[in-house]
Amino acid sequence: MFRVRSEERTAYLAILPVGLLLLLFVYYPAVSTFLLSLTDANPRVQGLEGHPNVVGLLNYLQTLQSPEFWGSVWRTLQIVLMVLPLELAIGLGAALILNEEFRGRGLVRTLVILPWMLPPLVNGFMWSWILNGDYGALNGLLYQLGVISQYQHWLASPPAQLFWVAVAQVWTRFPFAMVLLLAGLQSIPHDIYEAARVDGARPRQVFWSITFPMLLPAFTVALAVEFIVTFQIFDVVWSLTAGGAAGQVINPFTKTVMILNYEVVFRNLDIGLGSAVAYLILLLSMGVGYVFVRTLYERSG
Amino acid sequence: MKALWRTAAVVIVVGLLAFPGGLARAGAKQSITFLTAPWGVPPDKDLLQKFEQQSGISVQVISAPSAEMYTKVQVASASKRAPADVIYLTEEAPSFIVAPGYMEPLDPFIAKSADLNVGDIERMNFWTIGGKVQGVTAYVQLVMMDYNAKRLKAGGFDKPAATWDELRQQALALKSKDVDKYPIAFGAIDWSWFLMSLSSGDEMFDKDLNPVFNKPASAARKAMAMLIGFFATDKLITPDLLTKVTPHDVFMGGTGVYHQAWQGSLAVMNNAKISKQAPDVRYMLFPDKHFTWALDAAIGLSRFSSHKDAGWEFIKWYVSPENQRAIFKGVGLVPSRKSVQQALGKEGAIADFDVMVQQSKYVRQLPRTAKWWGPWTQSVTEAVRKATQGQMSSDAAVDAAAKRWDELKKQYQK
Repeated sequence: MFRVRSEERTAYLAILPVGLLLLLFVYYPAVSTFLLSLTDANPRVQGLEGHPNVVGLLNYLQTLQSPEFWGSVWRTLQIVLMVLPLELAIGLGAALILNEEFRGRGLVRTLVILPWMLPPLVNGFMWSWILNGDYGALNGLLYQLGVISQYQHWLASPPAQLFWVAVAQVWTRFPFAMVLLLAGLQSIPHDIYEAARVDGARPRQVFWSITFPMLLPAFTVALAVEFIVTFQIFDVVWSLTAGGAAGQVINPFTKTVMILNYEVVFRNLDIGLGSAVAYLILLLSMGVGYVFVRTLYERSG
Repeated sequence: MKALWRTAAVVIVVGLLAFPGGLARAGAKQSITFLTAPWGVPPDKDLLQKFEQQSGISVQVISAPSAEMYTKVQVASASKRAPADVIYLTEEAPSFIVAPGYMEPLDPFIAKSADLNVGDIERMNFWTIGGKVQGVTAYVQLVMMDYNAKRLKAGGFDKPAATWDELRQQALALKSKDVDKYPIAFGAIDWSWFLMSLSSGDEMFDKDLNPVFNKPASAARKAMAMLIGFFATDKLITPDLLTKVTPHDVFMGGTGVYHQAWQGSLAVMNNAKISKQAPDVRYMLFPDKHFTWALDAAIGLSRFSSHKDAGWEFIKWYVSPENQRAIFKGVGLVPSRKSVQQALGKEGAIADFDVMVQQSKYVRQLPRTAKWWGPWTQSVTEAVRKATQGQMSSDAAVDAAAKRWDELKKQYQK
């Protein structure tokens, strides 16, 4: 009896540091942010010595009634809808190739995860140089290949800006999906494939009847993680199209929910309103993420 | 014994971590931080080193794009911490940094510093807010316009346009004659609208800070329509400028005959090492009624700095004649000291000095010290960009800007 309690105590002691850190760096800020979201805190308005007033749920109502907020949600969802299918398709393709035996496979695997290793900001800047209308590499390549007769301004229109943000995000993140799916592929027992071959199954049948269903759990994880990451996209947008690197300008056409939140909190110092926006973003991403995961788990089950 | 040593070592390490300043004090050398926009970094390293050696103050320079700088200062100051000891005040800093009270009033420091010779420094009145001096002017600057005289001549024009309509006609001709596909280098930003409105004679705000730019048939409405037309219908501005903040690198890259510039821009635009427009760029007086606005920069102390005396010594050095000359030589910014300006003018070092002097007679100050000025300019840029993409008319953009001004004014004056 005493031994069990001692083990329990050891276990509690072992998780205590992590628990304290979580309490300090996750739960305390979360509660504090929620309390702030119920006030009109803005140090620029109230001054350094002033105190914010409690406004209840007014910030939430104001945000939910704001066309700007819903505009940013719609832009974010457009990016998500472009990124997720592309990223998972490319990730799956790359995983299938890298699951095969060939010479130099280790080197190729390392090279393929390079975009993931680069900081997203660097990726964003890299793509802004590639897409530059005057000296960009994409123009140079397409011009030399004869695909275009004059240089194009790839980021000129709002839909194009969203599209290229999605492309840069896919480039940055597909290795993550690939690594997850590759792990999933390698966990499928080889015997099943052998049995299918003996039964005369064609490659397409093998893929749709064995590989894909057995990859669904890995797919679900990749989809859920990537949904959250893409819904909270910031760095790539910031460096590619937000125009936030200098001056006061934030590009309205790629103002995603996180960029909006940044603008409200850090540019306008509207901390109360920004805290409400942060909570609404959390609720939205949790809600949609839950639906995703639930649906896919039910299917894979 | 072992335990004793271990305990002593832990105490020393903890002590060093808790009081890192102790080491600095022991060395009798003070260390300060200077947060600045990239163009405020002292360009002459030897001069800075000499200051550090003579004063015993070591200066850590932190350079950040202006928007990032405002964010750093706002966030740190809101929690009553110093973002840096000395802060460079530029562009929208009067609204973002000075007006909320994040700077230390400098009057007591100025009063005891005869060696500053403050009478020699121009535009100190702009940085006197609430009756107190918040910064010492580091350079004077007007938003100006320049043009490439050689390329304009290639289009058949001997002199720059005197009105905005003429400028548009010239730009259309330059485009049709293939002199330049995009003859105007203006950003899809608030500044372009401000400069076109002011120079067209619009006052923009009344003395009670109410917008007048939205009056029916105002010059500002016409200016907005023309600016949007430059992008959307006339195609006189490169689409690259729809996502960029400033038009300067586009112009330096060789695109544009007319360019939104600044006082001191010729030193950059006519530098063949970095600009394809060199050496043919000249200043011009703004078209129509010629008005522009001033964007002087200053340097001041954080209200929360714990090294204010050392910071003040650095500020005095920063605005010294020697450093102002070095800044002019390095980045072309016009010194705030009248004596240095006059000396450089006499030496012929300031290109087109006469046009600059002429332009300085047409300054209409925008209310940049209103606390809501910064957030408002962001919404103006958004409206301009939406209008260039056909998402709203130019009149709707002007109305949206006026509506936002009223909302912010109400929020900030509660």
